Amino acid sequence: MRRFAKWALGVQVVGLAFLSASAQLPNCPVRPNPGTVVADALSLSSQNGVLQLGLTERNGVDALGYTHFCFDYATSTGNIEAPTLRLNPGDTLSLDLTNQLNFTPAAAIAQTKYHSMDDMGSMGSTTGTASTDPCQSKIVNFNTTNLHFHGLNVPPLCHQDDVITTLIQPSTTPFKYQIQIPANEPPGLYWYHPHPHGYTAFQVNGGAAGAIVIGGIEKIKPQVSGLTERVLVIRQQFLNPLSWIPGSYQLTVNFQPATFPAEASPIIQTKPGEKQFWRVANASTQAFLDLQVLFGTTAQTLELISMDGVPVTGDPMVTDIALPPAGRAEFIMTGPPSGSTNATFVTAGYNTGPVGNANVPQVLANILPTATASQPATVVPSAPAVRVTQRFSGLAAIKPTATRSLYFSEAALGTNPPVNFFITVKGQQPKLFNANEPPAIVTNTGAVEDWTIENHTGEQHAFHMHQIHFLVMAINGVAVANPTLQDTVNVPFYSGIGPYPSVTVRMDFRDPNIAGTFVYHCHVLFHEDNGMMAKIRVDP
Amino acid sequence: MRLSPASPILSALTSIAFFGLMALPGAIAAEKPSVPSTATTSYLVTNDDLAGQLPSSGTFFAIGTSGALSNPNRVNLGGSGSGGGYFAANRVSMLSNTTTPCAYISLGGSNEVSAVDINTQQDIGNFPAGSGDSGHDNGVGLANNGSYLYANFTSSQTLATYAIGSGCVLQFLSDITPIGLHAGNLKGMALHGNLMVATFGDGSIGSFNISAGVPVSNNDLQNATGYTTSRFPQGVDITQDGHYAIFGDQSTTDTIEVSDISSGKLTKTVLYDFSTAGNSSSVLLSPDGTLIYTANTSTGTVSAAFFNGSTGKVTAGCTSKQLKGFANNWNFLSSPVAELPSGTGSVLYLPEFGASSGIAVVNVTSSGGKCTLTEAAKSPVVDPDSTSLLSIGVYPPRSF
Repeated sequence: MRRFAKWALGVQVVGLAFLSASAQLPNCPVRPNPGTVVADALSLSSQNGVLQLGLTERNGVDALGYTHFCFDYATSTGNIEAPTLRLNPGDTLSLDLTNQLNFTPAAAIAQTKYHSMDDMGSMGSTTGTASTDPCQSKIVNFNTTNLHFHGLNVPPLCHQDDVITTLIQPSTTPFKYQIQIPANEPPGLYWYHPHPHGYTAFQVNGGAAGAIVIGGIEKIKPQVSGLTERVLVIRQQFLNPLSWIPGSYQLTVNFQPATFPAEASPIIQTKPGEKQFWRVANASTQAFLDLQVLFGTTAQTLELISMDGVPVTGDPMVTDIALPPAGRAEFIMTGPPSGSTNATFVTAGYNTGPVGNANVPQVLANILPTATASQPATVVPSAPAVRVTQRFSGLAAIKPTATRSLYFSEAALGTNPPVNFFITVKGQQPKLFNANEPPAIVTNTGAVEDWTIENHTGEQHAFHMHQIHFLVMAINGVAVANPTLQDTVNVPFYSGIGPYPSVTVRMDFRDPNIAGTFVYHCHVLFHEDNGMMAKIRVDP
Repeated sequence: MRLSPASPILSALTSIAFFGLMALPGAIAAEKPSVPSTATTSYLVTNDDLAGQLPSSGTFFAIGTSGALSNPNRVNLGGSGSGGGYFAANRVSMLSNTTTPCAYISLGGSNEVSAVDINTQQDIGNFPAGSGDSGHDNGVGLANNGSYLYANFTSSQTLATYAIGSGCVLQFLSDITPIGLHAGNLKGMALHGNLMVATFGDGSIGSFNISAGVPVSNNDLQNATGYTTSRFPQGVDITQDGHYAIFGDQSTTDTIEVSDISSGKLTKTVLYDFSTAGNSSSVLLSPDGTLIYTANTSTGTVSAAFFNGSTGKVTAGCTSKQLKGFANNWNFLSSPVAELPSGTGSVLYLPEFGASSGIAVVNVTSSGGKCTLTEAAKSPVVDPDSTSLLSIGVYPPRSF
């Protein structure tokens, strides 16, 4: 999805937010009206080392025509959507996912398929009789789902964090996810979302995503102790995501549309001058964000705590945070002084390249100082326990056992989508993702590898690795002064002149628990759905 | 005077024009294009393809010495364009006719084909096809053999057949709905005699018998060789003797496939991969059949490969430097056309699609098994009337 956004959707942010979308859907919970106070999602915390819950994925269409995909959690007062899951390192997540999707595509879409990957049999057939075992199902279509626990360093196995073979069809029988969080899992923000290849963008576009918080960050970053914590999930919804002209898009903040000036902006309340700890997830399908807190037009200093769930080294002070799709940032911000009326949380816009999508500057929320501010219930614990050794520690000093070169490329059939998207190991033939093909890369547990990923296209990509984090070592061949551990990283677009832009990352395959076959891909989800994904097998 | 399709004058003209055509379809079908006696100037004609505004237009440039383009003349076409779309769907088709040479220019937004008299540079009329035919999203591709014009309405996924009458007037006959092996819709098409060769953008190719006008499948729909490695034929051309069909692939490299069609049906393609450039969705055979030109839209370059018309083999040739303005003024490079209807064509013109649409002018040399492609000093030539230039044609056209 790209050209149209550049040429036709330059005004998308002020688009179609002229009606309230809060009407109750038959299957999905009410979403908040524009211009209201932003509320955190319901938090569900582990008890005695276990978080047990059930989620049901459903779909519906709201009054504006936006298709919702929702993870419903049943409470005594009704269903709530996309709860935040809170666990500690070493805990067990026991999640029963029931697929009650019932989406019927328009006849033309059902007949012609909505993107090229359907034609390629990338995951299997789109029709037929599914195996009763979701671990062996070969069917993937609009109503197939699964879960990816984005960023968690857990095994790529069915019932854990496998997206290649796990395909859950509609059923009244829940599918069990049982995941043990590693004892040395970095404390921070992760997220969950569906990942049925070919249909991921459609479901995430509908809002099927929620936050996961691994506790204990105060043990490494004691400055967050006692601060009020907010979990802000930024989603993105296109009106017609199945069309190559998907219409206007809206960014939302905890499901509240951020469409100023068409509608009033979401409101985040702080006490005057209060420091708060914000955990922000970019759960959009394709929005590259440049996050800022502004007082008037002045960008405020933010104390960066964590990227992609891993506490950063040192205590960097920044004024903006570039966040690719799927990226997370955790930072301390200071609320505006009493009486202030011009404080905003914004994305400053992002140039994604000559054929990239428009990512225009926009307000995500107004920040309102209020002595009686409505506060989330969550406050970071103020009594740090014993500090633990971080996963991936010392990675920068380890000599890599192998180096690899990969590149993003595209083949357009015209000025509009669909486009065939590729991620390829240099020396291999570019191929659209096909789950039935051998992995592009085979390595062993214990390996530490340096990968350089080039971008041969005129648009930005977001490289994402499942199962592990990587250390961002260099950008365009220039060493990064303060490398960060991430699971998703921006790979800048190619301007047409000079060497291809690149990032070099250090992969850590030392944990035997991540042995198996998993994927890496661009997290612009339309790109991933249309082929820009490949498999890696890590042998024990 | 521009006539609307509903015009009684046009209806009368159409009836007169088709009286003989319907009586003698075989004779009309056998008619060969020839260089007209009245149109002595060479022209480059653009489809300005303006979406969402009326009228869209075609622009005529006079082709001067050494292929220089001058004197742009905008011809309003009444309808609206689609503002982009498939590279392989050529939206300009030139008709060499001894009495009325004309340019057919498709209007994807208003779902019709405009006929422009080349001598007068006047719009003769706009001709819709079937009521459900639409090219709104990705344009309407055109090809003609002097007797019939074929219009690929990419949104409705229908292929319309028009009979060409005197004075360039079109009469819609009927639609078919060609579909590839993997549900792809029609992208590129090329004609030779009674044969139409088509690409579907999903890795498959097929051919049709057009002896009776409306295409009838030859039942040779098949995967091209590139299918298994995610390289999908888009553009297509046919040699003058009808022996080979040549495909340009949607690919990350410059990929050409060749099929022997001497039997009247497609055979398994032979794939040639030249890794010097990217995405060869548009392809053109030089008038003398010795060079295959591909527009490499991902890298902003144009390539030529040597073609052996006796064996069908393709060997590496040459690639231009990146054409001026790529990734800044424009982003996509589409179907090339040649200045001259003989030899290598001498000069290539390529439409540049983007914020500043223009026409790249590239000089060709070929001698002793070597070739060069050099952008002219005054290239690109701005198309003042388009922001979405994707298709151009040259008059007089190549003879096959």
